[in-house]
Amino acid sequence: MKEKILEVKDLTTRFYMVDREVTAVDSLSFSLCSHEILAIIGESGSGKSVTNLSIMKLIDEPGKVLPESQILLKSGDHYIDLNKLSEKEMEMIRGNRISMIFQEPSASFNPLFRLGGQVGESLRLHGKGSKEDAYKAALELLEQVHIPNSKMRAQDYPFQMSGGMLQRMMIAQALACHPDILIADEPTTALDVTTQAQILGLLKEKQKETGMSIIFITHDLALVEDFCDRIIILYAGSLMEEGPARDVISNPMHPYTKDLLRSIPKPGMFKGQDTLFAIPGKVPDPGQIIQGCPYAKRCRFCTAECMESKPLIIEKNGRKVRCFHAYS
Amino acid sequence: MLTVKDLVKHYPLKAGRFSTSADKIHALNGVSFTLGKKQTLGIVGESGCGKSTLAKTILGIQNPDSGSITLEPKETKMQYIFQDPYLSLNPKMQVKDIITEPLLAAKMITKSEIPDEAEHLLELVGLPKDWGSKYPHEFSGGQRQRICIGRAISSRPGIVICDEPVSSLDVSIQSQILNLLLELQDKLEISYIFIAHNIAVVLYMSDTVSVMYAGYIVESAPPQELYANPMHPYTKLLLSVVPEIGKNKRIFEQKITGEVPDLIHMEAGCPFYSRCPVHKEICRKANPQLKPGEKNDHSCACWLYQ
Repeated sequence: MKEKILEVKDLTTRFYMVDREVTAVDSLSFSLCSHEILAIIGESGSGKSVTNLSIMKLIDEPGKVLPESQILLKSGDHYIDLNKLSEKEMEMIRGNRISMIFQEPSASFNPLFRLGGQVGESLRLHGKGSKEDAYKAALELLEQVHIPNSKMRAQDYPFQMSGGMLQRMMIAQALACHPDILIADEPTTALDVTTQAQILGLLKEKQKETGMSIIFITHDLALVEDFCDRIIILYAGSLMEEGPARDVISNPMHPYTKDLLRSIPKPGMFKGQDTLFAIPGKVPDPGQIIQGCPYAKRCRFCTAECMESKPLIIEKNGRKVRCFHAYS
Repeated sequence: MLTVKDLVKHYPLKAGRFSTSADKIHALNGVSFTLGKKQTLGIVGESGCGKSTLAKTILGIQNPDSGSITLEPKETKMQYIFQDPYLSLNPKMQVKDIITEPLLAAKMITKSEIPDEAEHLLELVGLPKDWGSKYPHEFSGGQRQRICIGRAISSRPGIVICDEPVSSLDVSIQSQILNLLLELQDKLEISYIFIAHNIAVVLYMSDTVSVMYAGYIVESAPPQELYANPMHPYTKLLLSVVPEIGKNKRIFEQKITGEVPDLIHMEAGCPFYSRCPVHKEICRKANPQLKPGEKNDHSCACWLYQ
């Protein structure tokens, strides 16, 4: 059994709007082991990004991570609860022990500063060297993420780089302090497919070299099968299914996962020969009060009990699934 | 129905105050194809390959530098479906006015006919017919894209250009919209030019697929043929990096070298030369023409086959 580096227990994040309350993440529990790549899959409004902002304590008013939520990070031989830390203490965690990379690399750098300085910034902020040391380290980092002419490119501004190169820069920046956990929020969604493959390759390479754990957030189920170790499927803020990546893809248990897999067009499907499965209906609106299973309205296997009460998670054989009919 | 010949579009870059010569972005460098009735031409390529420029030029939003676009018959109507349904609907208009606007503009109906026509169109695109007096903000992304589709088909166009119509939608909604487009094509005998970066989606939607790279069509074939026997190294690359469930493709282990070519300073040879794993001496010197291979409906622009 690998050791757990992060354990999230009953994470509930709620947004208190003027006219309604929106529970973006609803008592979500999961853990992340060392050297593991964990995928969090979900559509818009599923709570996947809020989960990761909650871990980083980046939820602003009117949002709130409820006090009973626990986010336990392994620190030496004990665990600290990030949800109880002050902003000052949290600053020592962010970018140092947990780093993030985002979907839109061009929006994540300051356009007015040269990239080299920005890449090494976290070293300086965490007191791991002077400005010169940080810049030197940044040059090394750029080489590690395979940026050609790294010395020259460090002098460039963000607008001078392509999306793929900028995403490499962001990975370099995130790796600067040797974090234990890297949270990658849709890191390849804005990129072309060929660039996507390169960035995934780079993430895998760095993960192997440094032994860090990665939380990989995406909407693309097809991407994670052989890239990630474990998958969590979220829908409307709730965990629907969890398990080893290969098992979940080859043998999905929740109807939502099954439907999702069938509705992704695969190369080799042609008009007139194949019909793509379409999930009826739409994702529930944020703030909509759902009594039963969040997926009930769109589900092919929905029964009366699904509409009445929300199923609990059934844990069995290393798999978790939230469905009344999973084992019947 | 539509014949496009040698379409060229270069965008001039603004010259600086002190510079004398202005460079150009070579967005389209001679694109030719034909589109038949009730057919779908799929265009696949990465960002910057010229696929949206092609769409805009065909539609006459931009004028080509050279080349010709011929419609047969001449009165054939064309419409456009955009990528982002959040940006392409006027938030201050009711849905019934949005969806019938092309009809009104073409004087095909009078104002008093709007409600009836809107009901009919809403039904066609799978929305409740009494939702005409709602505003766009009351709809989800998928529903908005349905409104956009309703607006596009309202004037019974012969050709609809779909520019990445599903890439901003959730996975579970995408297949609904794709199937709706196919259903409408069947019902209304529309031809589509279907543009997307996802080759799986393009293969599913099209009768012919053209692969674009750096403003050129580098390969063109029926989807089954393209999928089974890709010829151009770029098509092979695209197929090898598209995520595919259950295939254990390990796309993160693919060796991909080079970057997309500089569209401002285009060099003489094949535009794919710098990234091509099988390039030869000639590839650097001259750009291959798109030529039919052994099978007549499968053409490819690559020196390996010429």
